[in-house]
Amino acid sequence: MDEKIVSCRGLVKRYGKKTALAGVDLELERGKIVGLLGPNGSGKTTLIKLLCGLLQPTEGAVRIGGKPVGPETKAVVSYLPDRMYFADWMKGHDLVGLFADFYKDFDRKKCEDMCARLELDTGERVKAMSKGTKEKLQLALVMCRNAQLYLLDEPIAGVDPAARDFILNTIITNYNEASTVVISTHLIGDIEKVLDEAVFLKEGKAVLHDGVDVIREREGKSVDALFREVFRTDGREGGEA
Amino acid sequence: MDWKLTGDRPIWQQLTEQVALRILTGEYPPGSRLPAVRELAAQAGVNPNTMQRAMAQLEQDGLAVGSRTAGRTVTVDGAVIAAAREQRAQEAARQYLDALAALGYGPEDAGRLIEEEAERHG
Amino acid sequence: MLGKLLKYDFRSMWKQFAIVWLAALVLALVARLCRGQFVGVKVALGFAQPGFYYQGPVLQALSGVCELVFVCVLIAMFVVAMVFAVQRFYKGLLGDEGYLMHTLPVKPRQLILSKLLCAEAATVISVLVALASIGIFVWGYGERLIISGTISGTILEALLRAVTPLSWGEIWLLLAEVLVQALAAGLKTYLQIYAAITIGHLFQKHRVAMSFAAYVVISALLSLLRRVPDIWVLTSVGVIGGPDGPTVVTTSGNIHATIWVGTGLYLVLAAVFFLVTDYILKRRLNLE
Repeated sequence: MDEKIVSCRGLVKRYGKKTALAGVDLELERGKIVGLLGPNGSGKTTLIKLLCGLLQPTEGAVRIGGKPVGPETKAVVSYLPDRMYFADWMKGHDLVGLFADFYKDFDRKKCEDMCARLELDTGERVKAMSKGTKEKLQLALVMCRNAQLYLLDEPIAGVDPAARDFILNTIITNYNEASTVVISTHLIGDIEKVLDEAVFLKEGKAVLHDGVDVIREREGKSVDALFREVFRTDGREGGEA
Repeated sequence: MDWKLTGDRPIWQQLTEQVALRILTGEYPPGSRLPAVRELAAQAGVNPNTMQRAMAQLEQDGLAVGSRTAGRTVTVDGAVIAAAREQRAQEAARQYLDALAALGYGPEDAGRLIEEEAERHG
Repeated sequence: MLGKLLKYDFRSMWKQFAIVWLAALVLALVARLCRGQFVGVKVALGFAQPGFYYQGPVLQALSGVCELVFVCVLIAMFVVAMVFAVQRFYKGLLGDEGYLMHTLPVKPRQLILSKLLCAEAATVISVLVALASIGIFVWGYGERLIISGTISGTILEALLRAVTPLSWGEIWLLLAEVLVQALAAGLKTYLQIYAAITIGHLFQKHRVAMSFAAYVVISALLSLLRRVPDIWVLTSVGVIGGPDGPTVVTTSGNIHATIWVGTGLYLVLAAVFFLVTDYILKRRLNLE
């Protein structure tokens, strides 16, 4: 258990000629909530997909709890993608059943309770649900696993403040303390206070990795303010990254 | 009471101050059990680890006693609470003086202003 | 884990096919009843004698429409089966649903096997439903006419001639061998499609077009394979015309051996396509 939950060495990912990750070295400990911060196109989603095995690295290696990515690591990683991944024909309870079938760490009772609390009708077809409802269902499924690593890709992008508070609250009250939560976002102000650590991704490199309070103490400013400073030059020189 | 967190200082320090204030104002009376870290963290919308650190600081300051497993209680040592309250009052006075200094008033004006203000509000 | 994957794939298949299968059976029944009805009406009106198949233009058109719809449903069923196989694989593993399937704690080969068995099952059931509905449609109404019409001058007739001197046991054996080969051919066909789709997925752009290209290239390579003399000799079954009508000839001289070699070849190809697909999903997966 003292193996680092995430360990990336010299991680490079290229899509054709475009470089998404240009050599990321990153180690994450257990029991932390980590913000993966960077503007759009800085490689956040790419890094997360490499950790859960949806992409294969061009160079370098990824290890989850000391093991290479495979069925064994997928059993302990809970991933919230930046899109809906449900098949059209399924109903809410089909998905709950699917999670219960495949993930040993899934807490079905907890998930059903959460759905009831959120007034999600699990008898409804996923296809007929509103976007917000689908997002809540997906979050409930992902957070009701007792996983060792949660990878949440932009969980608060494009949601209203009430939903955002619900999401953050779900995250901090549901993750178990021996596990690590990685949240990618470009909206740092909203999530800063739930983070232990911040990782800044800039042009495919991890340019900073520190405790949030360490950053505040050292810089005398919030991580959000520091983020704006670090990434401001991008806007001046070359437009949106 | 709401939690107010600003960007310029470590969050755990701000949490420590705000929980301490609740102890000093008697919202958490001496000897009472403090809410669990998780619960407080959820209330404040912060990371449980950060809240944990804030509570550890309270223990170090002597305002809280106990451990994470057995639960934490507010100290029954009145002297510690009194001292902390005194310290907080001194800080308030310091801030007041700083604010007056910025407006060009000296410490000698401070007492007069406070007396006048107290009279006006009964 | 394969069992659990199959459970969900079969349910998804059922949702997609139940209506088509049901429609085929119901339409066969309706078409048959309509025709029976027309004949009955005509007899009653004195237009026709039982067994005398004269139909007025309107009735003929109506019963023609029925038959046309029925045939269309049968064709649709096989199109749906094919589309289903491709779409379940492409959308299910390489589209948005792939985000879920590839983060389940299962091996890529289990994912492929589940899709494959499901596609094969859908095909087999579709064939059975088609046979059943044709049976419903023609039974008692000149099935001999239809069957003999289909058979005359075809491989089937030649096969029947070839096996006529054989015992019933031999005939059943041949039938079983042909069925096994058909199943193997199905596996090979689906896996060839899967391999083509995953090869197309290796490209950054135009993945669908590249998948088609890959399929065409693989097919071209396979037709080259057929020209390898040894394989040609071992697997060729031909029908030649003769004084007694067409007869089946095999280059190897033994029809059982020929069928089994053909089946084996399909299975080898299926295995190759499976390994290609598995390798790409395991080592080269790029969901963007």
